[in-house]
Amino acid sequence: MKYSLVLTGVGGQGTILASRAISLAAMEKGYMIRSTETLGMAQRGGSVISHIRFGDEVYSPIVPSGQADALLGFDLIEAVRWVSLLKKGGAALINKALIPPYEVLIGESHFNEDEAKQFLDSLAADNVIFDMTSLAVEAGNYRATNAVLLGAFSIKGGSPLEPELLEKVMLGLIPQKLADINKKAFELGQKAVS
Amino acid sequence: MEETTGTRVLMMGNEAIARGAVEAGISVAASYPGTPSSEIMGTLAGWAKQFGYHAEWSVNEKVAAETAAGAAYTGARAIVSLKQMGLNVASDAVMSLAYIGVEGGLVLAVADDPGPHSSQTEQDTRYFATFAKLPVMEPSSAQEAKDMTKWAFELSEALHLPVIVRPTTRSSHSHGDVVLGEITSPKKDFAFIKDPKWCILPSLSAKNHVLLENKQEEAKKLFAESPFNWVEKGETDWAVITSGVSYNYVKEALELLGMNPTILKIGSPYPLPDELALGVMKKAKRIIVIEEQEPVIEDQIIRLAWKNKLNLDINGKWTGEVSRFGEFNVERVKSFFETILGISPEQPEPASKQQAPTIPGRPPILCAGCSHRATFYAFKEAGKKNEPVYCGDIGCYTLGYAPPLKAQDTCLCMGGGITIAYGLSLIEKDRPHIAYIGDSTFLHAGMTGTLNLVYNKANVTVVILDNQTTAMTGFQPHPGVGLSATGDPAPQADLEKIVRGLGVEHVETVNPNDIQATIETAQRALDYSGPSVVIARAPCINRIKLEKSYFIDKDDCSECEICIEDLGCPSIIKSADGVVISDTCAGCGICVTICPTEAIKEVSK
Repeated sequence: MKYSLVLTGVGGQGTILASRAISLAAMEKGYMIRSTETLGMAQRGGSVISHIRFGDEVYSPIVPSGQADALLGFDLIEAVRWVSLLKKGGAALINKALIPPYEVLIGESHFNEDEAKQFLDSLAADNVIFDMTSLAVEAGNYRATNAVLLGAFSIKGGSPLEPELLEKVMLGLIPQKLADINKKAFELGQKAVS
Repeated sequence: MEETTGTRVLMMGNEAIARGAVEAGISVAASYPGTPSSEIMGTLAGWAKQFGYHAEWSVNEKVAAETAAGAAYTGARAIVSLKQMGLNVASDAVMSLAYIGVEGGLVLAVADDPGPHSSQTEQDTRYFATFAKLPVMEPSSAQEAKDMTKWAFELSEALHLPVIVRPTTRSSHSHGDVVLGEITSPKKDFAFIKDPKWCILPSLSAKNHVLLENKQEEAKKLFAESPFNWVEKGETDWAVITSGVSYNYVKEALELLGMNPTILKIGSPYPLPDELALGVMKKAKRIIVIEEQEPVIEDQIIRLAWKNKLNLDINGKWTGEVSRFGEFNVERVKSFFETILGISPEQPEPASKQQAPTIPGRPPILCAGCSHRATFYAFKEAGKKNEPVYCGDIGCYTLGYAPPLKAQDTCLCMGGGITIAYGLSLIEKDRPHIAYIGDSTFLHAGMTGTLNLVYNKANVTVVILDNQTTAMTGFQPHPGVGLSATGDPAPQADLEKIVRGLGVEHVETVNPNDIQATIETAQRALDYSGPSVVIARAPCINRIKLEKSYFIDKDDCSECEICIEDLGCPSIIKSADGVVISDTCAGCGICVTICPTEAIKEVSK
């Protein structure tokens, strides 16, 4: 068994916590793990990606092109940026919401949202695109987007990690006072893809 | 931290290096932050009290290296952690230290950054190691990072030489499962023994140069016996020699190619364990060397082949198939093999059948609410007429180079902004020259340059962007913060007193979020003839919560977009409803001041 996934987003969105939850869950199952993430300068609002690989024997922490079993996108643009990593028949769980990059705001570059959505819909993958940010807000805070995504992943990711395990590990990583919001966000994420 | 030997935990490579140092029983750890090395000290500082060693953020890497060396002179074990550029700063000490040696184990954990992701250069510390004649080790996983670091202390003591452990971004910032080893408590009874051998005089250096050369041979032998170099026997008449993280890519690329050659995995790229390499080379018709960055191992393999008159092909960087540039991954390594072996590439079927639409880039930007934005805006306003040159430095504020702020015309190295500005001013006498430097960077390498401005009667304005932390690398404290690495109160360096002590007469401190006051302060500094310093002080927005936010009142907004064009704040965005302020607003309020129609208003709670 070898399972690979990538989480893509914008620095500050909580990709690191989500990737830590998945790694720790894989750890509890006794798998060998290699994961890596963007740290340092790019975290200041830049494009970030976390790679996680686990299984009986894994080496490269970076997911090779076309070999990701799942692509978890915190942001529509960032999901498109890294889509070449997703394998045929993999799962693409993507937030419909997006943060416009600065060069788009000032008109130096442009992004066609509809074209991107059409492209993502055409993927030979099990893809679900929905507004995770709104569900996080519904749960109590837009910062719980990562919990929504983890909830969706727990159902649709096709990984050997059980939803209960993922939820338990995630709740162990966040402050007690935010547990209810994140629990609800996780459940909303599960519901959205069920 | 978990103390139980044999427990399996998830660790980042940098944490694993820290754990290795603690298992080795260090007495002293010293560092200056720098991506991708910062978490080594971050972790060590957190554990210092539990395990009873001294951990500190030093003022700069040279100070850190000398501090650790001093401790190691007594027989105690010490570690210095730094990034590759930091080793440049420490190099004066390190080059001489190779000649003088150490008593206790001294390990330099130097993180390289192929890519580069967060660095000015893609320099290869393994070359520095060969230059300094210091043994260097390169981990391929978090487990190895821990085990290697621990072992490096023993090697250092056996050779009486500092030893470099060189992770790269992809080993420093990768997590893996690590089985913990036993922790050794630092001993308390070390003492410095007076001996002429500690004074580097030319006569001693001449003698020690010979000894240093002999130690290279000794290191080769010890490396050959280490558990970090090994041979995996294969079935082809060609073999692969690889090291560090590249080993992982080699393993997976070969799996994808369905090939099973002999692999020599090197954990000690310099000095290369000759006999081990020769054993593989003598049985092969072709050797393929896969290593990230420079041909450090490859050069040694070529020399070995020449010296032993071996008739074999050696493929790598000198034959052009393996790149010197950037970070490797499985695909790149697979393509190197395909080129060398003349096989046609085969790709796994991706999910995307059609070409992905072009998408805009997303480089990092200054955070919403960052006070540097306010400072840059104010100086731009004040300098409007004279087109000043803005000399930047290393830190978050480097991000001010981007439009619309365009607040960095130059950026070279730590502390270099002040002195580059001075050099420019010697030629362009009628133009204002402004040097931006962060508080941590100023204390690291800005004080000498400032003294030089005073001594040589320069006409340069230094702006210290004092956000009370080392923000870019993860909010480490520094001497200006009032906290030690381990979180204890520490004497707080007073920047204004330091600058006055250096002889600067025109010094003003201002809160940059007060835009009007900052423009006026900037004006006075630029008008002053002679060296002037402005300390723009406001805490990093990531360290505080302003508990307010703003919105744009549609009724008053003229859609002029000045707020977007002049500030480049990521919270002010264009939407279908016009310009709006998003949820991510940090509440600094500088946009309120610059809005010509007073349309930006505070959200009432």
